[in-house]
Amino acid sequence: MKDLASITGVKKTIDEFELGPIDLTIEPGTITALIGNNGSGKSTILKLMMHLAKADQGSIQIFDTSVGGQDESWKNHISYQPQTVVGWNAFTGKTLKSFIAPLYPDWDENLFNQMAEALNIPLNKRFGKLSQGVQQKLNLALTLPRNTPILLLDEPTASIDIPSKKIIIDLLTDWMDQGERAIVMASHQSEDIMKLADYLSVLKNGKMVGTFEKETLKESHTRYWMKDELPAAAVPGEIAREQQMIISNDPEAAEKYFSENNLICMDAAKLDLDEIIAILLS
Amino acid sequence: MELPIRLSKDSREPIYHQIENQLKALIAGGHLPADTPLPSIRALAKDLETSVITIRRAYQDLESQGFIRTTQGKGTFVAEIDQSLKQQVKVSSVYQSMEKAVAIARNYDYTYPQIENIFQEVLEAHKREGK
Amino acid sequence: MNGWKQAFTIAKLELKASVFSFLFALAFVLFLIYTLVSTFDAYMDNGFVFFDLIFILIFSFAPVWMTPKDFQIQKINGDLMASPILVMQNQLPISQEVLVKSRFIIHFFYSFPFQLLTVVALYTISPLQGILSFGSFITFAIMWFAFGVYVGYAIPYGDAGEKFPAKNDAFIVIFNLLFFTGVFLVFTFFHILFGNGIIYWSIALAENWPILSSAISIILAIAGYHHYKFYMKRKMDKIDYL
Repeated sequence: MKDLASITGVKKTIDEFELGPIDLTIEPGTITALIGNNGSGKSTILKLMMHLAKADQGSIQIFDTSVGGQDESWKNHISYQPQTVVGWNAFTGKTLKSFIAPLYPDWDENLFNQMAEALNIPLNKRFGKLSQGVQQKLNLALTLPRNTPILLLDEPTASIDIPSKKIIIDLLTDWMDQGERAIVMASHQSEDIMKLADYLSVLKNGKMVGTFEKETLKESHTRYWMKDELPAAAVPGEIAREQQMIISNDPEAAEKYFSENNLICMDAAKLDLDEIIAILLS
Repeated sequence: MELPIRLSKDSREPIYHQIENQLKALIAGGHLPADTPLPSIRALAKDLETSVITIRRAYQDLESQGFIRTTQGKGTFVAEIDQSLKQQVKVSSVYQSMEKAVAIARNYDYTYPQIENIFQEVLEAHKREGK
Repeated sequence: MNGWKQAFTIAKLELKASVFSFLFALAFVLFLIYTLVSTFDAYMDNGFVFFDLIFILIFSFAPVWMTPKDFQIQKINGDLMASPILVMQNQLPISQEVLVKSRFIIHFFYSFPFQLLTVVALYTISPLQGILSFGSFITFAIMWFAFGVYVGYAIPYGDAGEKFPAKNDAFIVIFNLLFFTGVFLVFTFFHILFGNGIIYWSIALAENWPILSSAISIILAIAGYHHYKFYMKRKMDKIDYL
C-alpha cells in the first residue's frame, strides 16, 4: 500500500521547545492519534504537515510532493482543522461555505448540510458570535466535506457536548469508509482514541516514544498480582511494580519467568488504554 | 447494525480471535442468516473499540473459511454455509466452553470425579428449570 | 491570467465584507482632500508641513486604518502580527502566488480609488491647474501612484507577518506618537533644507522633466511590486504561524 504521507527525521525548535526527530508514515485506511501531554508537540506536528510551521530539518511528503517546495499541489490532498481558527470571525457559516467549497473538487454538499442539521449549526450567524462548542462544530462541518485523502484534526471533540461527540465519531467513521483516506488527529479525549484510532503515536516532551497499533498495546500490557513479594531482579518487560503487584509489557516472557522461578501469580488483568497511555507518558 | 459481540479483555484469547469465534457462533447458530450485511471494518472497529487491523484480520479469516463474503463496493455479507460447517462450529464451540470450564475447575484443584459431579448437578438443574 | 482571476475571487470574500468601512474611509478621505485643496495656496507660497504629511499618508499607509478591525493585522502567536485572513487562507489549497496577489488586490481597492480622487480633486478644484499643463499633471499623477506602489505595497507585504515586540496598547500608542513626531520632524527639516515641501518639488519635477520622472517612477513601481511579491512569498515560507 502506498503511503499517503510520510514524515522523515523532522526537527523543529520553537523558543526553548525542541520537537523531534519525528518519523511517521500515514497509510490509507488508517486513523493515527497523536497522544501526549500539553505542550508535547502534537499540534506542532500537524502545523508542520500544513507548512504553517517550518521544519528546521527533515522532510515531509504528502502524495510524493515535498511540503514547502516549489510544487504546491500537496495542498490539494490535505485538509486541516485547527484547534482555534483565525480569520473567520467576520463571516457567517454560509459565507465561509461558499468560499471554501469551490476550492475542493470533491466537496460533499450533502454531507455539509447533513452535519449542519445533525449538529444544529446556525449558518446565518457570524462565526465570532457563536459559542466555542458551536464554532468547533462549524469548523468540522467545513472541513470534513472537503473529502481530501488526508484529514488533520486538532482536538476535534474537545469542547463538544456528549450527544454531538457521538454524532461526530459516527460521521468520522462513515467518512473513512468512503475511500482511500486517512486521519491524523491530536487528541486528549479517550473516547476519540478508543473508538477511532488504529495507531497511537506517543509524544513526550517533543520526543516520539513510538507508534503503536492499538490492540498490540492493549494486549501487551498486563498487571499481575503475585502471592509473595517479588525478588529484586527485574521481571521481563517490567515497567512498574508496587509490592506484590507488577506490570509487564511482555506477558509471555513474564509468565515464563514466573513459572521458571516458581513465583505464584494469583491474578492477572490487562490494563485499560488510559492506564497504558499514562504509563507511556510518565 | 450493532452485533452482539462481547470482548473479554482479560481472556488469553487474542481479540481478533474472540471476534472471529463469536461471529462464527452467530452465523452457525442462525442469528445471522445468509446475506445479512455486516458492518464495515471501520464501523465494527468503532463499535468494539478496536483497531481496523484487528477487524480486518478477523474478517479475512472468516472469509477464507467461507463464513462471510465481500463484494467489491457493496460490503461484507454473511455467506451461505453448508450444514456440515455449521455443525462443526456448534460442536467446536460447545467443546471449547466445556474445555474452559474444566480448565477453571482444575485451576481450583478439583479432581476429575468432582468435576464430573458438578457437571451432573448443573445438568440436572438445567433440566428441572427447562420444564 | 497567471492567477489574477483566482486572486480576485479570493479577495472578494474580504472586499464584500468591507463595503461599510469603505464608505467610512471615503468620507474620511473627502475630509482630507478638502483640507488639501483649501490649504494648497498657502502650501505653495509658504510651505505647510501638514499638507505634505496628509498627502503622503494618502499615498502610503492610510489604508491601514481604513480596513475593518477584523481584517487588520493582529496577534497570531507570541510577537507575530499577521493578517488573520491570510493565515486562514494559507491553510486552504490556494497557491502562494494567488494569496499574495489577492492581498495586493485588496490593498489596491483600499488605496487607488482614494489616490485617484485626491489627484483629480487637486487638479480640478485647486489652483494646481494653473501651474501644471495636462501632460505634466499626468506625470505628477504617475509619480504619486508609483509612490503608492513602491511604498504603499509594504502594507500587503506586512500581512504575511511581522514580529512586533509590542506588549500592550499603550506601547502601540506611544510608538505611533513617536513615529509621527519623527516623520513630522523629517518633513520640517526637508522644508528648511530645500525651501519647499516634497509635493512642491514633485510638481517641479513633473513640470520640468515629465518623461524622465514618469519613466523612473514606473520603473520603481514595477521593481517595488516584484520586490514585495518575492519577499512576501519568501516570508510565508519562513514564518511559523503557530
